[in-house]
Amino acid sequence: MDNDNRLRRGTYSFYESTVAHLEQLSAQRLRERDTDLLRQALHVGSLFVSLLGEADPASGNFGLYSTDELAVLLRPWVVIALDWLEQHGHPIANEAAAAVNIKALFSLLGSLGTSDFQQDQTAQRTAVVEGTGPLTSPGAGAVISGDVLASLKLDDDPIV
Amino acid sequence: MNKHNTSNQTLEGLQECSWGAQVLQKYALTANNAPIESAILYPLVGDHPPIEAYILSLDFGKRALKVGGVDKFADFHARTFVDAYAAAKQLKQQEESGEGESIWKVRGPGEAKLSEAFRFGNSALRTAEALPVNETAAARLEDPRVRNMTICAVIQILQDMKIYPTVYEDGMPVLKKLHVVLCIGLPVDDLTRRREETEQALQHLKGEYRIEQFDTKSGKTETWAIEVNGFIPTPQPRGTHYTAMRRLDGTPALPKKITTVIDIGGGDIYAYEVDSSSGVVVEGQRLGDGTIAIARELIPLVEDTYGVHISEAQAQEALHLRTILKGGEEIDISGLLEQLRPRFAHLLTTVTISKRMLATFIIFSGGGAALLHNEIAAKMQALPGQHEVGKDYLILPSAIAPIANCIGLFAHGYYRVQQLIRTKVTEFLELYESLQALEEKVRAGAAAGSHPPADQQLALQEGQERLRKHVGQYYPLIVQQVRQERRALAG
Repeated sequence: MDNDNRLRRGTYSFYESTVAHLEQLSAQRLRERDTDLLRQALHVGSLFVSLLGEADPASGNFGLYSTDELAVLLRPWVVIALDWLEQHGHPIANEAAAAVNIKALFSLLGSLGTSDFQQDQTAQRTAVVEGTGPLTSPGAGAVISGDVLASLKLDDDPIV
Repeated sequence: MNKHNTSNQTLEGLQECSWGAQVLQKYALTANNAPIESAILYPLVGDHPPIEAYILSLDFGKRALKVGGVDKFADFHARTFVDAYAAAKQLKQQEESGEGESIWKVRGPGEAKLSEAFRFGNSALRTAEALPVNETAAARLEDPRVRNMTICAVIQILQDMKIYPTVYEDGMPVLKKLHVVLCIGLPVDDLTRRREETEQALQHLKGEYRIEQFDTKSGKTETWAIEVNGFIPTPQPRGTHYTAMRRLDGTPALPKKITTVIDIGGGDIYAYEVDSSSGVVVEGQRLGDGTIAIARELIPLVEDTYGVHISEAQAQEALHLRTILKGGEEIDISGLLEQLRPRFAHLLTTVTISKRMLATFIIFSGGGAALLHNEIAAKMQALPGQHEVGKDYLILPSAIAPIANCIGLFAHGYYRVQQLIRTKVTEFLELYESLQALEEKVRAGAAAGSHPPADQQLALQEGQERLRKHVGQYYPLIVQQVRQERRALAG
């Protein structure tokens, strides 16, 4: 498959990591081109970004869609996401984690359009180091203390 | 403590908080208030996001392969596969009651074609081909049949853990590549005198596998894509040691300085001295033949009594299952095994409990420890002086003795990956701090009206680029822990 940074060379201007992510996904799946994935990402992403908007006072719509239409369009993606989280061991029923992640999601959505990609990335890294961002990451599991790991002399068994 | 199932298993001197006791009682495995599970974000390469991988344990025994892993509910799963391989002539659906069998084909890294169809483990026992069991680990791993069996064993444990080869997208099943990191338990010799040869053999096993699993009951074929991303070669006794002597958070379960692990396996009996503070194996010694010695006695006994010939591998299995196949039916051979009881005690005559051993905490482990439990207890009671279970020695409970290495190897694999993540996080923090210092310098220079030199600008750009991609940023909780530890160290 032609994977020659089409998106980067194109007329679009997107966040670099989003482009890289779609290219990688396309290379992994070998079924869609990265541009196909981009169109899908735009569609799905636009539905979620609608959540930030306020309803038009005259029509009551969010962008093009009424509340009911938006709900119908959003629902399958929410269900898919919930299933995916469940299948990968991070059910949303874990309330503490959910609260953190939803907060992080809204903070991220809120930053769209107001700061450029580089600033976002820097802010995220700073949040990671300073501990002001979410402290959970998927698949992190139980964390073992550094002192204990040091006592086990694990370097004697290198990873081959 | 989160208990998934009720269990009345006796701990027989095992500490309640140890890995062994937790698995025996079917508790959900947790440490520091979080679940332990096989699925983990694995930092494969420094400048790429981590991949989702499964840490699994693999006890590469001479007579059986044991595989273990922990599912998303933090339950430990283990399976034992007899070292038996048989080519399957045809893939044919069969009318069967109960569970069907699997017939496998494997395509390894860089190979163009799938392997021959084969059965392995118990389903291959009757028609098994001779496999290299007394060779070095490297020689065994290089045999494509052994390699293919190992990969299929990995798949079977993933199935037990309810991990599937496909994901559904828009209602369509899509093949998903599963990444695995295997903590493989090997004989001590293979990791000391023959380490280089062993590591080279493991390197050849890394890579992508495509596997076809044909189910004889449903007639359906399932395709799996697996990538082996890494091996953590570990001396087998370290597994048993962790099982009995470590809590789930890695701290000691028993305050012992030196431990002797007496591993009564199918092929051999070994005694290993282990430094309890670290789990590092200090010394190993072969004491004699394992339960194969009893199995060989069983073969003529079965032939004389039932007129049926069984192989050594079948005889080994019969010792544990207490049954053989005759006329297509399972026959109870408990009576024959009782006749062999004197042989059981005789096997232990090679296990001399020396005064040096008695100065250490002794753990009896392996399939043979389950089989000879009463004889071992009698032997320990007959020793001069008082030796208490749980204080001076342990005979691992029969339910976990055969998989004791496997349980502890999973623990070791989990800790080893945690340490790898910590190393990456430390790199990330060091880079972050050095960049902060550089930025401060540039700002101070700018305040004084000087333009930053080109090399400083370049270093800043390169550093920012490395930081942007660094895998350490994906572990925020560990970043915080390491940062606190570094601050505490800095005083």
